[in-house]
Amino acid sequence: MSNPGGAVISAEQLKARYIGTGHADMSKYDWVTNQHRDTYASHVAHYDQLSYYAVAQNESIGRVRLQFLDKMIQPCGPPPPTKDVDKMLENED
Amino acid sequence: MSSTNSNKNEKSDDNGGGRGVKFGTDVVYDDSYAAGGDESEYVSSLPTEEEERLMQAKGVSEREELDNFDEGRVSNHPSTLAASRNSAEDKGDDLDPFANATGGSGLVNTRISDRESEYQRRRNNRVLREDGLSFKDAMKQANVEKEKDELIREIKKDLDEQAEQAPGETQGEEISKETKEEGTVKRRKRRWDQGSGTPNTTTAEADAAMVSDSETVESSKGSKWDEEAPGKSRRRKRWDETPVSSSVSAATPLNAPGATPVSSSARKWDETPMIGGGAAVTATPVAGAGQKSNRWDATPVASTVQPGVPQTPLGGNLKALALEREMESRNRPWSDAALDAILPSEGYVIISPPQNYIPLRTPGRKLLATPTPMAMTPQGFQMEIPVEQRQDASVQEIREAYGVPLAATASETGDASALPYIKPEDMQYFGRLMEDTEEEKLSKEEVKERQIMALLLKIKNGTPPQRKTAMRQISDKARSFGAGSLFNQILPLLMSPTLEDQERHLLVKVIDRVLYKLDDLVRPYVHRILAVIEPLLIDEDYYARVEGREIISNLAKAAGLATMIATMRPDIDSPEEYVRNTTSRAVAVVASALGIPSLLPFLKAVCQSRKSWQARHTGIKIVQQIALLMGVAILPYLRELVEIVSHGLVDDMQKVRIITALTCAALAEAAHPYGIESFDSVIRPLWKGALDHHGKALAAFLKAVGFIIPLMEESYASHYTRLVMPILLREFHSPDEEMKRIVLKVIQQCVATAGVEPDYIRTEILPEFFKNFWIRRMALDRRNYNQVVETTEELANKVGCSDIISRIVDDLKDDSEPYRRMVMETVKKVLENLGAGDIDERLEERLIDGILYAFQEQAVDASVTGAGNLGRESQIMLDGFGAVVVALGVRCKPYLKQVAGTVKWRLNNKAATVRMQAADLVARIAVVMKACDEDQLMGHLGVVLYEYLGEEYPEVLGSILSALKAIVNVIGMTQMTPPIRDLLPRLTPILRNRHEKVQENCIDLVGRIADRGAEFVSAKEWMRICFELLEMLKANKKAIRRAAVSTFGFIARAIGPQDVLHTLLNNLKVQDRQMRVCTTVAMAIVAETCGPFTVLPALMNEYRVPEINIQNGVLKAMSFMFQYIGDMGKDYVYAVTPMLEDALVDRDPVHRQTACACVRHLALGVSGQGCEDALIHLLNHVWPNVFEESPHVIQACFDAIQGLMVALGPNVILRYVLQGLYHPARKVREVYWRVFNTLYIYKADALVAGYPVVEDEEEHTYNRTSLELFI
Repeated sequence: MSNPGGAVISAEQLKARYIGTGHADMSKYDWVTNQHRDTYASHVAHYDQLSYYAVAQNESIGRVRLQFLDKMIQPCGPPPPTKDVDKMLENED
Repeated sequence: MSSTNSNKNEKSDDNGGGRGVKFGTDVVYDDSYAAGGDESEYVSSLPTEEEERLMQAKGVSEREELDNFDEGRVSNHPSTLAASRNSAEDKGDDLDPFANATGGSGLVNTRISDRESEYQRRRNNRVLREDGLSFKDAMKQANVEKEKDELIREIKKDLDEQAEQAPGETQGEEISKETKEEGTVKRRKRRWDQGSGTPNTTTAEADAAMVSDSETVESSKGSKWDEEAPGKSRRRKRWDETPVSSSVSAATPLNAPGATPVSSSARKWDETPMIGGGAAVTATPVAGAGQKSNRWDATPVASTVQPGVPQTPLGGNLKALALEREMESRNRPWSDAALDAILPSEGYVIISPPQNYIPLRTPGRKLLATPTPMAMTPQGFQMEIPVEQRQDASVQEIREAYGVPLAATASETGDASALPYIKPEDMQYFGRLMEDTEEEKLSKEEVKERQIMALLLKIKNGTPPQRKTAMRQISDKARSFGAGSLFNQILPLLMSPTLEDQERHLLVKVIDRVLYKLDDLVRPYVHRILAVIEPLLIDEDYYARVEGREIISNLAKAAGLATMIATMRPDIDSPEEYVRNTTSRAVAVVASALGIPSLLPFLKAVCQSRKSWQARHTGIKIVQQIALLMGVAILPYLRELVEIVSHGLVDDMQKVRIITALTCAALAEAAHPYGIESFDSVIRPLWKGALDHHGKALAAFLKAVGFIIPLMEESYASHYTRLVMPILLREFHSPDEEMKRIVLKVIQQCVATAGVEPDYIRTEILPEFFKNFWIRRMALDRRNYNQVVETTEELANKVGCSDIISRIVDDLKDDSEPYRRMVMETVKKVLENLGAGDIDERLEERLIDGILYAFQEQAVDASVTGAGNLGRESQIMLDGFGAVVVALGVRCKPYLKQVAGTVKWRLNNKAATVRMQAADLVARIAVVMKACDEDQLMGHLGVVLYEYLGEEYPEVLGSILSALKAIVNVIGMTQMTPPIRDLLPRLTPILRNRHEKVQENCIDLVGRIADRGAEFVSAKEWMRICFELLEMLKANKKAIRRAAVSTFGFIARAIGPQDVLHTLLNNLKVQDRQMRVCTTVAMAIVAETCGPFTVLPALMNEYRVPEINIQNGVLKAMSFMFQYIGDMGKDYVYAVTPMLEDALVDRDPVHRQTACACVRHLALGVSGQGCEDALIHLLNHVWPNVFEESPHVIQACFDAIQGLMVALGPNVILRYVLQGLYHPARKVREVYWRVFNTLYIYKADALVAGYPVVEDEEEHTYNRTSLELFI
């Protein structure tokens, strides 16, 4: 991916701009969490989808929206405990 | 602090009127500040935003524009050479553009120190504090210095007073300043006036006289003077006309670094340890040059020691002895060591002398040899002893002397590549790299130092690849090298007197990179870094200023606000104006980096400092700089900023009042058109100040008023305009040029506000204005000229066009040419803004009469005959004439005959510029001529121009072609005289002309004919033109290449694509890459204009030629073609797929790269056209290339994937990507994640439907259950 000026965006900049982007060391948990959030965001952002889910669950649209938004907090459950390896990696940096 | 510094301080501050004028006394007007003498170095006013923009455009520092404080500097900088040439033409000098080109490494002198002004050179005098000095100590030190400075000034003042009492005795008077040692101030005064009649007074007598004298003067200071033994700590003196005794001169070498007084806590840059003695330094301009150094130049300098020359006592016998010794040493045979140093170690053997060789040892022969210089010749010329015969010469010195490449001794460079060449002047920094050392013997620190040195050398002098790797290495290893060892080497390099632009840029870049890595480790070095970077902020080169700002803002982010404030605080009330000026700019940069609010409390405290006016001055100046730097971004804090500075308007010090007024102006300018309510608190004092002040201060206050009035509501603006007008009218008569310009500017601003009535302007302002400013003298100075024109333009906007023009139109016939130009430019601007609607018939006649007169009476500038573009002067005349004719439009009809006559006459002129100008004028007025139905006249002009196509000067020829083009454009192909069939064959040979202007205009004309009137010319002629056009495909100028390429399209449309394409395909065989690229573009254009089906068969047939360039060319042409034809490509996808398939599996990476580009354009064009099957087939061939290493190939491959993503949808690509996201090999994962990120960035929403189902694990629910809901 190129930018005006030709410099390649560094990983941090990319992550800062697009929170859902990943990297070679991304854990399964992180990636799937992102997928879930994107999914909910997509549901909330498309009114037709939202109304579909509202009918399917026999709920009001607002409630469904709220439900999706709530689910975005830890959508896959609590994060796995940090492993020692990760800590060591952090210390190295 | 060295005595040099205090000397300068005293001088600048004294002359600057820092002291001695008490507020409230009758001498309110500080005229020493206003004009003349040394004050020109003083930064009296700072660029407003507009001026700064102007400065960026011109590349000329505005400061010198305004203050005129160093003219030589402008012309020295390469980026301003053009500007200086213009200014030289203004003055009528003929300037040798290469006069200043000696020195430095390039064609022009890029050495920074050579173009520095005296003011900028003061950076060398800056006193540096120790690294990591605590804030407390730093402040203490700064205070001590300040006190010292004040003491010196007091003494000086006393002396001056004395001198006034006894005016006859003042001549030889001087003060010597002493260095501070361990924080105590010792000083002593010498006066020569007692012995002024006898300049040969011995030092002892002088001392005695002086001591006694100083006692009388300084009795109140106690007996300090007595305690000091005379001559003990004497460091430096200025002896006006007194011959320097040897003992003194030995102690006062200005240049020898070793002798510069060194105090334990203060250090100077020139004390950097230097290898090879002071030779390099002596060659450099002495810090603080100018009058002071002249004084020293006059004395025989015995102390500048040539490194190699043995120092000998220069008297009689000893000298003879020395000579004898020298002769001996010169005739000594070369030592083995010296020979080893310059000869390669391999391929040479030492052979023994022949057996029969007997060395000549007859002393008699020696007598017949060339006589040596007489021993008694006093101080005769001495040749330097060759390096190799010196006892202490090191290996690299010998190599250096004989130009033997200084091959790297491999071990320290790491890689096998040799170090770059070390310039002789850099030897003092990098010399040690040349020493043969073994790494084992060095300490860890030394090894590190050598590594850094090697990297810096590569960055500074190396080839681009070397530089790139070195740059990466130095920033990667920055933390392990440590801040100290890095900056200890970088910073002295930056202060090197031989530094050039490019080198400075590179070193500054190093600092930037290193800063980023070091982060808070830089804290102890902030002061030193600032001392080096701050001078960049006042450089005349715009990019240097930007670079400086960037570094300082990065530094601020790395070191943090607290450190920055602690470091800069002591400099804020430094006695040196230079230090305060640069510091204020630096603080403004910090404010923009860390946010204004964080600095507000600090600024408030500084601006209210009671102790020193310098602090208040600098604080207020910081606010000004913030306003200039941040522009409208100050708005949220405007009220606070104004309040912080407001009390400065009634300060005791005049300088503070002036800077405060200028700051208000800057703030108002930045805030325009908002924020008037924030200025409530200052309007009254400003107004009062404008009434109370005179001279320079009044100018500042008026400027502030002028910038605030446009912010006001209509009624207030009108009210204040009426109030301020009497002052302005009074100052119309001011002799001060600066004041005149400010008055004009304020008038311009006042008039522009909505509340000012035209009638008021007509009655009150115009008569005085025209009387005082529309005079010949105003046209002579460039800045006055511009300001008058701008102000008149603004007045015209208010009172209408005819009012103004009728007043000045007769001046178009004035005797003075610069004045006529000023009128012309004003007329042009006014007519462009307002049109000629209210110009009545009489005025119209006078106007045309005037411009014709002015146009004809232009002086022919012989210096630019035939060379270059039109000068600024002729350009103004041309623009003015064009503007008048265009504005009058059809009303010109009666005069066009006369105009055409003038043009015809001038086309025949001897001077090239005149011909060029005439041709340009035709191009300008062609449209109006058409509007006046003067077709016949135009046809006539066309024939005349046609006859001049044999013109020899390319610039003129270019103008003639553009005039022809303008005529052809307006009268059409059929009406054109000469007929197109005659005109075009005449143009074909001109296409061969290599001059850019000719090429561009010619190709435009040819292209226009090919587009509109191709049928008038035979196909054969067009083919001939095709061949000529091929050459143009590699023109340097893009406009020419573009015109050539599109002309191919027109020609192909006119005569059919076959022949043209044939020519183009043949052209693919040439070597020149640019040529091939442009050929492919032309082919693509032909395909676009004539339909792809006419081109594609031939193109694909050509691909079968087994030659790499041709195949690549075909692919590239196809790539461009698909780019141009867009969705038309859907008909050709299946046709080209086999070819692309073949190209994508080729061994040659460039082949695959081009094919990828082709796939990309193809895919983007046909997205949504139902060609997915072919595209997936192509994707399967593109995909394996994702592991390509070469940056261009990988880029092309990713581009292709991106294009396919658009055409196929992201989820198709996602299927490919999913295979490798969690691949065991990191290399694979990295590439696949990169592709995934691209997908995510462009189509995150669409991906939601395509993510894989992931099984739940323990407490983690990975299934996206919401997707399973259905009705």
